[in-house]
Amino acid sequence: MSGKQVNLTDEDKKKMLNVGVKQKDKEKSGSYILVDDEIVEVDLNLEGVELMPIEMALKKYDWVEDYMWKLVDPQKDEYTKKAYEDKNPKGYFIRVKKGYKVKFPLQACFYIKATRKEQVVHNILIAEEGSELHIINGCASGNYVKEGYHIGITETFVKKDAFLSYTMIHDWAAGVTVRPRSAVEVGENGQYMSNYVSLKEVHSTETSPVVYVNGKNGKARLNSILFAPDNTDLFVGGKIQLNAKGARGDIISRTVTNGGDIKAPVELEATVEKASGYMECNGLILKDGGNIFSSPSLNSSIQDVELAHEASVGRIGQEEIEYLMSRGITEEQARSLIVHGFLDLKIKGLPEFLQHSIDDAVQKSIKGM
Amino acid sequence: MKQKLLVKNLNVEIEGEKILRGVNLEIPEGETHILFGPNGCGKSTLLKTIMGYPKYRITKGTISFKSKKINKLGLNERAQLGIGVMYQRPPEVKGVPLKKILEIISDNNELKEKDISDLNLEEYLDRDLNLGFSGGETKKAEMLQLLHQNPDLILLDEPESGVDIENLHVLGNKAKKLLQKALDTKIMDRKKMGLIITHTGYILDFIEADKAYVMIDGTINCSGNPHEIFEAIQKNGFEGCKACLENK
Repeated sequence: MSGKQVNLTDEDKKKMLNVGVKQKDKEKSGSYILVDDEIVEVDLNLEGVELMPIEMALKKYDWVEDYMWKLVDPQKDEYTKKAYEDKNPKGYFIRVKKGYKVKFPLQACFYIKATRKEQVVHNILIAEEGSELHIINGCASGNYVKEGYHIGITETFVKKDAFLSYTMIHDWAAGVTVRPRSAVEVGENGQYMSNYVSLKEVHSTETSPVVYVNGKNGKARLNSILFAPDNTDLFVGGKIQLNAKGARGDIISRTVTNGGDIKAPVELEATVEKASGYMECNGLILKDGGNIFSSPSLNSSIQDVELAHEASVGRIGQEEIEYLMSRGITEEQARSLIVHGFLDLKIKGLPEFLQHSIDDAVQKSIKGM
Repeated sequence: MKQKLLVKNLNVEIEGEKILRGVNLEIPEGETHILFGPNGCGKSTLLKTIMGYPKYRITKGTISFKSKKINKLGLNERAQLGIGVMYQRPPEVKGVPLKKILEIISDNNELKEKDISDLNLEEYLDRDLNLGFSGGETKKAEMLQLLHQNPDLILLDEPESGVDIENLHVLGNKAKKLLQKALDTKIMDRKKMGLIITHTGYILDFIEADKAYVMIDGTINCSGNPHEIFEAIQKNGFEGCKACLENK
């Protein structure tokens, strides 16, 4: 399957590589690239996985319609409304079929190339019973993009005993405004993991995914690694609602500001007994002027639940810096070692390739600090 | 020309409080000296001031090393010049594994496998520096860093405190080698300078030190043979030293 061809410059390709998307690598499992509103590439050579533009999926299966707007309310805000009104929705449909366990990551990429572009996408992701799939969604824009909008609705369904990981490494140009709206449903014994990485200057990002763990012993985990240079406004919230016995939710965030603003309101809610969850939100402020608003909240009216959180915001300890300097390294080196270590989140259960992509992105952003 | 560490009339304040009052000492190359003194007399302050911690403000006096006045040099510049400390209680550095710092500071840009295995630290390489380390592990990790740095002036702040007998041997022998006090370095070839703070004196069983000082209230008033001074302290305590000063 191949979509309409759009020429990508070398710079475009490089930007895509930065976010972990490799082009035309047939050995890799599959990829989907949307440049502005054109589908550039849909490639798939994997048994058990279906990947197609959402428009095509809606024509092919009448049940796909039922999943659209099941978890996200179209009236939620102006962005969801805009996406809802779109008569020719762009976006992808990914389904991993029952029992198929796919270890190699599937890649999706939305790329803003032209200036003043509004990208509106609606994605549906389904991991059927007993399946496993890892998705890396690189988002990027050409360096010459002055302004642009990215609005993305993603609805994800993790069925019984399925495991889905969704990794997003953002690399938008300075002028881009990003408004993802996503929601996830986790079934019995299912596991969902999201890794959200944003390390570059971006005009404004505002996202707040909601995960509903509706099946017994289902698990959800939201990891975020955020670095805000000057002129960057990140709002990365998140919520896990535990609606079944034995449900588990974990939210881990590492935030660093070097002049930008980060808001990270995250919530764990338990609506039934025997649910448990943990949140860890740590922030570092590298210079005055940047702001971190970390607000972890726990919410339950049930006695028999276990919810806990740990949070901190502060500067790098002078004692640590001086200690490292006394071993012969400069103050800048010492700071960058510590910041790198702070952002270096080793994520359990994540395939090595994805961990590498995240490590790479962190490494690059720290270099330019 | 022979190198040396020369501390002259050193006065140091921490946040306005006078800690060191006119300290004088000289360590020629090839020699290791011992610094005794009661808790809080300023021993660690002296080490950290020589290393260059900005909190320790020199109000008077000079520190020179390798014929260079180093009062104004920063921590990393002094380390580059060849000064290294083994801290008594180093901070935990979250996110920076021991291995990473060893690779960065190693004088031959490599991990020194023999030292790592002698100190039994293989399993600590990937752990964050000092994070959750026991007393003994911290000391060993400090020693391992010094062995990688291989400085010319080695400052050890209570290398044996909190260390069990078995580890004491390993640490003592590593310190001996680092300070070129082992017989594999000919006496005339010895270049390293050392200054060791000790309470227990155990380190004296491993290293034949050349001289010892007693520091009381931020001043050094007494120096001599390390074994003799240690014996006197064991017999009369630092009270004996104070009484001795008062009678002077």
